Amino acid sequence: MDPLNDRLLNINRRALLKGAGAGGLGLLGGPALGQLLSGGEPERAVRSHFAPKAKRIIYLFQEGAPSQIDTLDHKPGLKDFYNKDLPVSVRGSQRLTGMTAGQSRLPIAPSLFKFTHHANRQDGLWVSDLLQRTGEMAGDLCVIKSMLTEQINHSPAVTYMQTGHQLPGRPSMGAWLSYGLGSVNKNLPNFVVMISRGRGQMQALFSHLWGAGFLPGQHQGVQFRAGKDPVLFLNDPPGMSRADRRKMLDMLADLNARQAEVAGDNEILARIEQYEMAYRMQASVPDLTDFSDETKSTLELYGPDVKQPGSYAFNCLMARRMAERDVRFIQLYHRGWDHHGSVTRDLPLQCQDVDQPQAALLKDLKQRGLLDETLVVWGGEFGRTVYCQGKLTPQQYGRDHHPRCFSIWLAGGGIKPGITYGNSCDFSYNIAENPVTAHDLHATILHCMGIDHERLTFRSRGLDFKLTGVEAANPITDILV
Amino acid sequence: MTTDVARLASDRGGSPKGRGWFALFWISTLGFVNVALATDESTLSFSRDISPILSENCFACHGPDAQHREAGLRLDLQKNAWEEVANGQAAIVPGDVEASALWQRIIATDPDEIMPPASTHKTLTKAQKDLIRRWIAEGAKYEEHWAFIPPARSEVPLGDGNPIDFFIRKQLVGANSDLSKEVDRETLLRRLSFDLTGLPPTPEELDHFVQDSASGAYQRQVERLLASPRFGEQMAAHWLDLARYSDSNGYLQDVMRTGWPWRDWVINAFNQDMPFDQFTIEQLAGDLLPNAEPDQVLATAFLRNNPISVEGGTLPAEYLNEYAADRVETVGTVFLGLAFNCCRCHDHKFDALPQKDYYSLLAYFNSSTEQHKADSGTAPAYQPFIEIDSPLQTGGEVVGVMVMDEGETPRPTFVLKRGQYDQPDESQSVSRRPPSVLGPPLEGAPANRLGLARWLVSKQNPLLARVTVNRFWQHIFGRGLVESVDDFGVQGSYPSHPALLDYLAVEYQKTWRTKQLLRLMVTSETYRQASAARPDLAQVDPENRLLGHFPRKRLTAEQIRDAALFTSGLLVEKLGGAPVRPYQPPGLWSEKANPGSTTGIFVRGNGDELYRRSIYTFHKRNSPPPMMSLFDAPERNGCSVRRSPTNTPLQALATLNDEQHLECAKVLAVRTLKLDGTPNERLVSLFRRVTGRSPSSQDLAVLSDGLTRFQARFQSAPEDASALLKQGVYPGNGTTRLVSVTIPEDTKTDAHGYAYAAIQPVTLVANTEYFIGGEDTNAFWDADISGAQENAFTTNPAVSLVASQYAKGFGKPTIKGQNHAGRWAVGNAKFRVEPTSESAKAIPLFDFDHSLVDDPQDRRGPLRLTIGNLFRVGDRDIEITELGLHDANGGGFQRGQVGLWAVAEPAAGLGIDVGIDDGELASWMLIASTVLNLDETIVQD
Repeated sequence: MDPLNDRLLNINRRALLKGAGAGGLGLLGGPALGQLLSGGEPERAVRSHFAPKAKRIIYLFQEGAPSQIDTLDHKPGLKDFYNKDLPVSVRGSQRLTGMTAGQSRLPIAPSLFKFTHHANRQDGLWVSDLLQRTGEMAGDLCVIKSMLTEQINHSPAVTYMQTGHQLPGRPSMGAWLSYGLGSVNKNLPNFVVMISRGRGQMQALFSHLWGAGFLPGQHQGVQFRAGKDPVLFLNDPPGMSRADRRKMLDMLADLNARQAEVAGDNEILARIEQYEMAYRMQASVPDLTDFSDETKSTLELYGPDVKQPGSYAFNCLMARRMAERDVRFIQLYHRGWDHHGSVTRDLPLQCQDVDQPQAALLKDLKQRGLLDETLVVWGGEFGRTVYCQGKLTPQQYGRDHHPRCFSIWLAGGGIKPGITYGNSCDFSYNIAENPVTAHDLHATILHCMGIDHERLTFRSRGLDFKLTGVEAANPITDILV
Repeated sequence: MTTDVARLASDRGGSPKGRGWFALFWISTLGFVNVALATDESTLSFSRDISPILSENCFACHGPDAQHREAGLRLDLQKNAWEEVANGQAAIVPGDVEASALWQRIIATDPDEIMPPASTHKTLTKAQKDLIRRWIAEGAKYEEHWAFIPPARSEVPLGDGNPIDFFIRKQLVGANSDLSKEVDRETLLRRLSFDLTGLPPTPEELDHFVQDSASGAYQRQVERLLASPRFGEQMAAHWLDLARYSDSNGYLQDVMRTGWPWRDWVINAFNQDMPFDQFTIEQLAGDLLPNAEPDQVLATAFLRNNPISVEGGTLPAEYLNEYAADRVETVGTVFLGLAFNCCRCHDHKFDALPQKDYYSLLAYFNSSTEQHKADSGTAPAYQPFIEIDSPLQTGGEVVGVMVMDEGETPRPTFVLKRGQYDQPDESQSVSRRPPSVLGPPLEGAPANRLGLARWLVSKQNPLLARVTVNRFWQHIFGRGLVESVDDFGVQGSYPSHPALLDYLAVEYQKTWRTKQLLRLMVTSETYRQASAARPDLAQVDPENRLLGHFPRKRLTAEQIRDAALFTSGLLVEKLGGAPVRPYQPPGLWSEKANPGSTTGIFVRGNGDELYRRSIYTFHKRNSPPPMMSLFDAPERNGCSVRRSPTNTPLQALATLNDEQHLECAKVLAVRTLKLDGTPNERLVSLFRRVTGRSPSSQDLAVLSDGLTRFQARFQSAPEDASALLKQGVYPGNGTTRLVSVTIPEDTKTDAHGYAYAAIQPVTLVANTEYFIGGEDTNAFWDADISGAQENAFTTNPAVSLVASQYAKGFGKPTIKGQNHAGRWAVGNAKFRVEPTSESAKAIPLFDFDHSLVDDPQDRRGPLRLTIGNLFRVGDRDIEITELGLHDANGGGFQRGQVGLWAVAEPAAGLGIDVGIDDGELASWMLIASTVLNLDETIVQD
C-alpha cells in the first residue's frame, strides 16, 4: 500500500474510533470513505432495473440534419416526380420554416445519387453509394426510417434529441446515464464528448448539449478536444516534471488530511481523492490519445484522416479506445450537414468524411467482440425536405429542414442486427408506419442500458423530471434483441 | 468521475432536493433512527407530515389536475376527500381508520387494489403509513399549505440576544444539544469577508481584528464590510444566476449583447441598499413608473435577459411566446418560489395552480413592443432598447440595453393547448391577474406589470418575503431554511425552522433592507460558531439541518478565482463596465460557434482586463468561462437559484494548471520573496495570506521540505525554472501593439476583396510570437481558410465596420519555395502548433507553412492571417509594409481597423527583473500553487 493511502486509512481508523466512542457512526463514514478504503475502487455498474444488453453507448450525432432521401431512405419512385409540385395531400398542414415558407413552389427533387442494395437479415437495405462502406455493414445495422421530431430549427431540435426537451437547461442523455449508472472507469470521465467538423454549412453547438442541467455537476460531459490538451487544463505547465507534480500532491494530501481531522469533513477526503484521480488522468488520457499501439491495418481501416486530431476518423478510433476502457457514454458530434443550398455539392463531401471511419468503427468493435456490448447510434436532429429549396436543376438542389420524417441507424448491444424498422411514405415526407419519437428512441437507448426510462427520475423544482418527458414514450420492442 | 453513489429513482432520498429535515428523521431511506427533535412529536402537522406524503404519492392522479384525475377523487381538498364516493365508501372518514377507503387501499395486498399502484413505482414506507393512520385517527384535518398563509411574526423573548439564536437553540435543545463554541477570530473574519464581499481578508485586517480588544470589534468589521463597494459585486453574483444574465443571446447564433449596464445597476442597487420591494418593482415595471428615470427603465432589462434566437427560419409567434413563457417561469421562481413550468401544458399536478393561472401571468409579459426577427443579424440589442451607460461609471461608454416597453393595448391571451404557441384554446380567454390561489389582484393597482409588481411586494403575497429571506439564508448558511429554495409549493421542502423563517420574513417586510437582514444573520451566534463537525450530533442530525455547527461551504467559482487574484495582489478592482476576457484555453468559442456569430472568436484581453473580478468576465451562453462551469456556475439559459457544489478531478486540474491560477502562484511568490525574513517566516506569511490562518508546525515542516526539494531541483535544471515562469503575461501586460491602422472609408478592394492601408514599416522579429486583431474583434469570423465557405459575414452597426475574416500584411519573405499546390511561394513564417482559435479543419494543428506566402500573381499574401490568430515568425525577420482587411461583403469598405500586436512573453530571467533568481522564484511558485490548491483555500470554514 502506498504511503498516501496508508495515511488516509489511519485517519479513518482514528475517526471511526472517535465516532464509536461517541456512540454512533463514524464521522468519516459514507461513500467517500468506502472508496478510499477500497483503494479508489470504481463503482460497479450500480443499479440497473434489469439486465443490461449494452454496457456503453457511442452516439455518432450528425449535426445539421443529413438528408434521409439521399442516404438511407431510398425512393426510386420519385424520379417520375422531378420538378413536380409536392401534392397538397402529402404536405397537409405541415408548417414550413421561414426559409421556404416564401417559396412560390415546392418542386420535388429526387435524389441524384446512386443506391446499392446490400444484404441484411431481411430483404436487404438500399443505401446511397455516398455511404457505401456503411451500407456494406447492413447486416449489423438496424435502420429506423420513421423517426420524427417536433422541432424544426436546429438549436431546439438538437437540444431536443440530446436532452429530451427543446429548451436548454435539461440534463443530457449522457448525464442521465452517468447519474443513473455511475462510473466504471476510475481513470477516465464517464461521459465524453468529441467534436469534428465537416465541409458543409456549419451550425453552432452548445455546451448545454452535454450539460448536467439540474443533476449534480459531475455528471456533465467532459469534452475531449483536438490538440495537445485533450481535456481542459490536463497538462502540467512546461518546466514541471512528474516528480514536481507528485511532490505537490503529496504536500496537498498531507495538509488536507490534517485539516480533515480538524474539521471532520468527508469532503476533504473526497477532494484528496479527486486530486489523485486528476493525477491518474494525466497519464490515462495521453495513453488514450496515443495511437502508437494501433496496428497499421487498424489505422488503415479508419482511413487517412485518422491521424489528424479533431477529424471524425480520429474521433471514431478514440471512441473505440474509450469503449475498451469502459467509458460509459461516448458522444461524437460531426458538424456540417445543413445542406440548404446544395445537397449535390456538399453531401458527397460530408459523407466522405464519415463513411469510412464509421464503418471501420463498427468492424473494429465487432472484431474485438465489443459490438455486442456497445450500442452505436447514428443520426441527426431532423430530416430534410423532399422538395427543393432554392433553384432546382437536373444537377443541383438544396433541401430545407424536415421534422416529420427522417432516418437513423443503431447497431450493437441490445439491438436486432440487419433489420429495417418503420417506413416513410412514398415522398419520404410523412411516416407510413411505426412512428418513432425522440422520446421513444431515448427510452430504447435507456432500455438497452438496463434502465426503465419511467424510473430514472430526478426531483427539481418540485417535479420528478425524466429524460423522456411527460407524454407517453415507449422502448421500440420490435428492434430489441 | 463521481464520488457520489449513483442512484436511481427508487432511492430518491439521497437527492439534494430531498424532503425537509423532519421528513428525514421520520421517513429517511438512509437508515437513521427516528428521533424526535425539538418538534413536539405528539402533535401532527398536516403541512409538515401528511401533505408531502399525499403530494408525492397521490396527487398525480388525485390532485388539482382535472384532466388526469382518476375516479373523480381528489385528495388535495378536505371537502372532496371526506365526501362519499361512488361505491359508498368515503376516501377518508375522520377518526375512523378502518372505514376509510384511503387506508384500505394503502394496506391492500391485491395488486388491483393497492395504492399507490405498482405502475407509479411508488410505495409507502411503514413510517409513512403509520403517519397516515394516525392522522386519520386524529380527525384527518386539512390545513392550507403553509407557504400560502401570510407569515405571522413569531414571538421571541425580550432581551438583547439575537432572535435567530433563540429559534436555532430551541431545536438544538430538543436534541439535547447547543450551538458550538464561537470560532476563532481569524476564521470568523475570513468567513465574514467572503460572505459579504466575496474576497478574503488581508493579513493586516486579520491582525487588526485579532488585536481589537475593545467591545464592538466584530460589529465594526460587519459594518466595514457591508459598506464596502465589493458588497454589491458579491451580492450581484447571486442575482445574475437568478436573472439568467449573459453577455450573449444563446441559441444558434449566440450573438453578443450589451446588457452589462443592467449588471452594474444590480451592483449599484445592492451597494445603495435599495429596499427589496423597490428592487422588485423597478426590475419588473420600471418603465411603467410615473416619470420613470432612465435607470428605472434600465432595471427592466431583468425581463429581457432571456435567451434570444435569430436563427434563420424561426417563427416570430413561436419565439415571442417562448420569451414570455421564460418571464413567467423566471418571475414565478424568483419572486414566488413556485414552479410554473408544469402548468404551461396542464393544470399543476401538485399545487393549486391551474393552467389558466400560467396564461394569466403570461398576459403581463406578452404585450411589449418587442419584435422577433429571424436573421436579424448581429446587433448587440434589439428593440425596444435604451442607449445608456453604466450607473457605476459616469461618462462611460453608452450602449444599447434591451428593456421592456409596453404596447398600446394588451394582446388578447388564451390558454394554449399543451403549451403550443399555435394552439390557442379560444374558449379560455384569460386576463391579467396573480395566481388565483394567492388571492385577488391588488386593489387600485393597474392591470399591468406595475400592478403585478405592486401585488408581489404587498402583504397580500405571502411568498415574496419568505422566498427572499430564504435565499439570503442560503447564501449565508449554505442551504435554505426551506431547502427547496426554488419550490415553496406542496412538493417543496417543509422549513427546518418555520418560526424563524416567518420571523425573518416579517422583519424583512418592514423595511425590505437587505443589509439589515444580513446584519442580523451574520451577528448571530449561529453564524459565529465553529465549523468543526459535531460527533454528538452526527447521528441525529447528519446533514446539520439543526445548525449545531457552522456548515463548511465550498467557495463559489467566482470567489475561488477572485481570491487567488486578490491574495497574489493581481486583482484589479474597478466597479462595472463592459465585460472583459481573461485567460481561457484557445478554441473554446470557435469550435462550437455558428458562422457569423459575433462571439465566434475569443480574443483574450490584456493588462487590467486579465485581472478583474469574475463577475465582469464575458459570459457566453454557448460556452461559459470554463473555470466558472467547472466550479458549478450555471449556463444561465434559464433562471437558477442554487448551485450544487461538486468535487471533481476536473476542478483539481483547473486550479493546478489554469494559466490564471499559475500566474497568481508566480506573483504570489514574487510578493512573498520581496518580504524580509527567513524562509520559514515567508512560508508563514504566504500561508496565512491565502488561508487566513498560520500553519501548524507540521504544515510548515511539510512546506519547508517541499521548498528545499524544489530549490535543489531547479538548481540543477534552471531551464525548467525559466519555462515555469512563463505562465501568464506578468510582468508584461500581455501584448504590445506594434501598429494599428484604419482602413479608410471606401478604400478600393482588390479582386479578392482586400483593402489595404500602408503602415510605417514594422519588422517582425524571427522566432517571436505575434497576434493580429481588429479593434472590435467580435465583428470578425473565421471561416474555412480554404475559402470554401465564406457565407456568413455580418456587419456590426455599433462600429459601422464591414466585417472581415482575414487581415493581410505585405512584406518581404526571405525564402521562396513552392507549396504543395505549386502556386504560392512559401515564406518563412509558421503558425504555432496551436493557434488561439480555429477548428481542426481550418488549420491543421501542425506547423503550417501556408501563412507567409508571396503570390506575385494576385498579391494574395504574404501574411494571410485570420483575425485573432497567434502566429510565430520563422527563423528570419520579416518586414511588413501594408496591412489589409478582407471585405467580406464586397461592397467597399466603410471603415475597418486592424493591428499587429507582439505577444510579450516573460523572457527567461524573469526572476532577475524582480531581483530574484529564477530557480528560487520557481520553487516558491510551486509552493504558492500548492497552497492555492488546499481544501481550506477554496472552502469557508
